[in-house]
Amino acid sequence: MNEKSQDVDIRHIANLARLNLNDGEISRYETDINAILSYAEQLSKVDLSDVSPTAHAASITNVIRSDEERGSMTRSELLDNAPDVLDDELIKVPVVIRHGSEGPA
Amino acid sequence: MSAAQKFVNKIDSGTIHEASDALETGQISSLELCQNLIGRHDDIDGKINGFLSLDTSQILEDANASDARRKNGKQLSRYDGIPIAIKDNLSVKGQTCGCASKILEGFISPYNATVINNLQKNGVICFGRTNMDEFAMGSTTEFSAYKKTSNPWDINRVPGGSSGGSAAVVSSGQALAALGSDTGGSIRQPASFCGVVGLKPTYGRVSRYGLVAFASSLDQIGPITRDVKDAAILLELISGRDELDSTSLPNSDFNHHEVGNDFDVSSLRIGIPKEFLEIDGLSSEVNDAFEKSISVFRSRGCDIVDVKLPSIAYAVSSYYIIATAEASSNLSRFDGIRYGNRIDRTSDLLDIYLDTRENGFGEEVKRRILLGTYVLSSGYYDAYYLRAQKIRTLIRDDFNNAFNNCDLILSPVSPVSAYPFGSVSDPLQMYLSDIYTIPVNLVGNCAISVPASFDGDGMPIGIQLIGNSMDEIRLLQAAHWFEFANEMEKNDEV
Amino acid sequence: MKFDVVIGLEVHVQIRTNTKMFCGCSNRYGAEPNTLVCPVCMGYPGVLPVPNKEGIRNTLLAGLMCECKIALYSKFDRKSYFYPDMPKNYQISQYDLPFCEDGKLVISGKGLSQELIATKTIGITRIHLEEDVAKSTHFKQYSGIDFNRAGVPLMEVVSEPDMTTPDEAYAYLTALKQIMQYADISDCDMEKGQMRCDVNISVKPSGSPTLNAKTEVKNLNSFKAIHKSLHYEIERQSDVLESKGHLVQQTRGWNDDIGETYIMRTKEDAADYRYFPEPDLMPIEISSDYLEELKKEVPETPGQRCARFIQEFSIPEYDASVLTSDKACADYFEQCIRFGSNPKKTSNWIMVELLRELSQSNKTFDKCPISPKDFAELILLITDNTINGKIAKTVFNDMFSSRKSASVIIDEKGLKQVTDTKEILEFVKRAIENNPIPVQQLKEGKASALNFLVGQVMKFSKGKANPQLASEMIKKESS
Ligand SMILES: [Zn+2]
Repeated sequence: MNEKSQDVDIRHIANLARLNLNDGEISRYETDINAILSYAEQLSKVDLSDVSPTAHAASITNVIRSDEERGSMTRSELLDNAPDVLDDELIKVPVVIRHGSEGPA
Repeated sequence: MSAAQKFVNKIDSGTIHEASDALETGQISSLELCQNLIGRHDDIDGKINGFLSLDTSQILEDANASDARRKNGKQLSRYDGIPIAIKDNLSVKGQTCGCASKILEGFISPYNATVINNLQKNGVICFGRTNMDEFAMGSTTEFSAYKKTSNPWDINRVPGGSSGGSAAVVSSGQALAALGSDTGGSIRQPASFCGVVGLKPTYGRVSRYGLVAFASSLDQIGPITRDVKDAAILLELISGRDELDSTSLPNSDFNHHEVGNDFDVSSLRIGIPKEFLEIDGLSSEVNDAFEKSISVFRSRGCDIVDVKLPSIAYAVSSYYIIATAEASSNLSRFDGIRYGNRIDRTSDLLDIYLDTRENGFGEEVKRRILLGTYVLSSGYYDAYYLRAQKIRTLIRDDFNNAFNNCDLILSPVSPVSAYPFGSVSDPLQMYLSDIYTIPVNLVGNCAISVPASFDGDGMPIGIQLIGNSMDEIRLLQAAHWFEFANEMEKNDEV
Repeated sequence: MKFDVVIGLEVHVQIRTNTKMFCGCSNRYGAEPNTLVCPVCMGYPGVLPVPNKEGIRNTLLAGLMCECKIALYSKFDRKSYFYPDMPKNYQISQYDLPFCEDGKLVISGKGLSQELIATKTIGITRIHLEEDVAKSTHFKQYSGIDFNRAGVPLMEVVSEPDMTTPDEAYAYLTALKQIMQYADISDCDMEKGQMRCDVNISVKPSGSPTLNAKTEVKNLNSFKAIHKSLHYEIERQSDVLESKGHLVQQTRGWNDDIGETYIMRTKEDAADYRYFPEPDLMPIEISSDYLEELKKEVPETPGQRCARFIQEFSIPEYDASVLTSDKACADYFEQCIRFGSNPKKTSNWIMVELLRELSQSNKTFDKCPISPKDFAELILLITDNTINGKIAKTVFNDMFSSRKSASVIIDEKGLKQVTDTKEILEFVKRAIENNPIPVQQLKEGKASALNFLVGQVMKFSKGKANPQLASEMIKKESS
């Protein structure tokens, strides 16, 4: 991480996060984030080779549910909140052809 | 004069338990109670700006319904008809749930958060939506997209954040109590700044279902109240295992009666981490308040022991990596496709995403989304996110070791008391001021902020008691005792 | 130039459960658009996922069927990318700790080209569990999204690059589909999107030690399309190599109308999915007790069942593999046997008559108009000579259309085989009298003459005479 954090590519990160930023914002965030990351450099000085990561504040496992229906909301409830609707049935978006099969990428 | 009668005369400084007594004995109706609070709101919230919205007709309707229930002996609980203010990131069916963000403008939630269901089951009335830092990201409530909330003790100062609206409305007598959320101190710090009680329960004690997520592994809903007993009561009402939240803990029901008056404080071992006293920026006034609190415990025979939390030095780094990483992912759903505000200039999908999110999110939210996206991005995960998670392990081990030697840990809540608007502009400086509160979220323990003292300008200063996981009973007993002992001490001084 | 081909497949299989993977909405195909949705699967603010036990159980079951190692400790991760069919803009999936790893699947039988393929073991890299995305319908200017499918449990089965021909890929998919059907995990109906496939293929000059960049082909909606796209890619990539071109890693789509692949993106714009552990879900620990319980639930695999059919019923390997290729067919066969019908005869009649009728009338076994019990009765009536084979075919057709049992049809139409020698003798005498020339030819040893005379007897008896008896009697009477 050392030198890396000094050249955060904010434009690339903003694109990943789908945020439009103007030039002023880019330079401001670049400064802020570099400062924060410089501070976080302290983590690289800790020997963590034998430490396992903690992802949760609670240590429970196997929280699952039985395969029983709980009911759905009505279509009108869904579409009432939707910004754009098609035929009172579908949520409308500009045309998009998924890169790949119609399924997860 | 009965306690209930006394309450009627001082609603704007009353508590849930007093109001509940007054309702039970018929000294006051829910309608009168709500009308009084609405009146108080109309008088002062123009200056405080604690509420984002207050649907008075709905509230009065609910109050009437509650009074009818009680009249027929069908009250849902002792607390039927008690109004509680709700932070704007908690979902209430049929209400807006905006998280003080423009991106959720117009969104009406179709469902209740589990805590709201739990309150309504007991007849509790949702009393307005309180202001907050947008998506709970901030320590001053200045990052609300709508308004700046003032500290009721000095309207030129911040109320703290992110639950600044909740703390301010409780402190200013506009609500008996409020719900807030605490991801890194967002209940405890504003409670301290506003001179009220703020409890962050053990992670998993209170269901997060219906709390708009900031950082899923750190968020927890909790009460902001006028006294510790109310915090215990509200915790009882909202806690419990929830099958809609996979991170909800078994056996998480809480009974406030276990927080009794017959607590033997002399058997308590209070741990003082010396690392907490070496924090840069710890003001002498907060330090004094802290020392004074130690002496309150010591003078009643408590064992005061030194404990070590060596990895605390890395807590802020670890926290801001984990919290922003989770936030960047949690906030990706706000895109203007299915709900909320869509900005569509060009009929191009990518532009909808970019424009909607550019206009919908404020400065601090964008900053954190960028940081979080960066630490998860290809090539940086191991250096940042994984390391931060490992530090989290070390901090958890530190606390486990500490709790082998003590029952509770005592610390400041914030290095400083409430400051004037606009005085902290550097994000890193703002993050660093969370040092006393964020370790608790990383570990998942419970902690409470209790009013302790005042600074030279008369601004309140709280102290923090930190308990072990699921040790809320002891935490609240000690806090309850401290609240009383500290009051006595102050009277003695006078 | 000769080329080596390396093929690996990534197959998504929807798991058939009552409810979606992380919410209580019904998991059902064909409902009105946007009626099977709730705040959770719509990614509304504040909602949380809770995993469906059955989704996990079925994934583990698939793993056990494919002889995978089951992870004793597993977790879910978030995979991030923005797309309107994905409500949260991240997909709950599994990254580094999938439920199942390191399994295998044996392929054999015929490929789509009908050529026999050698029995071969294909490695399974991993099987992980994730949630499906919504369905988009594309119009000229805009798309419409139906979220009923969003959140349906979806299994991804990733194979090792162990296949070398399109036929092998076809056989692998067939075998995988069989497994899913056998374990009752999924119907794998590709038309309903219950099974979806991406292929990875790379081509290199024979014997060359270095692997060329692979191409991923997406948007494949049928086994046939997969087969065709692989052929197309082998040719395309070989052409590039023959003309001294250079292959780069890329993702291509399949246009089924013109039978060609087209470029979608190259490696440079590969996505950055920012995987990290799903903080809303707790890890899953599989206890050895639970695993043992589950192992007891693992049904026979198609391969095991095929072997058992050969052994238990003494039917030829070909018969056994045809019968077991479809679980419903194998079930039907075994039920018939349970009603006492002869295995070899039953197998013949299923393979020749029943499968043909079913496919002609576009029916599957669950809609078969003839119950196994009635089918077994038909076979029994053939074996005990109540009816002969020719009559049996008429009876069968009648059963298929009228749903009546064989005995009812035989009674109603008086089709019972004549085994009374006196009656048959009448017909035999008439045949001999009327056909002196064939009789003469029969005496000279011409076999076709006998067939002709038997045919005459059958005609006189309206098909009801027992042909064996008739044949013997003709030989006797004409000598
Ligand atoms: Zn759902």
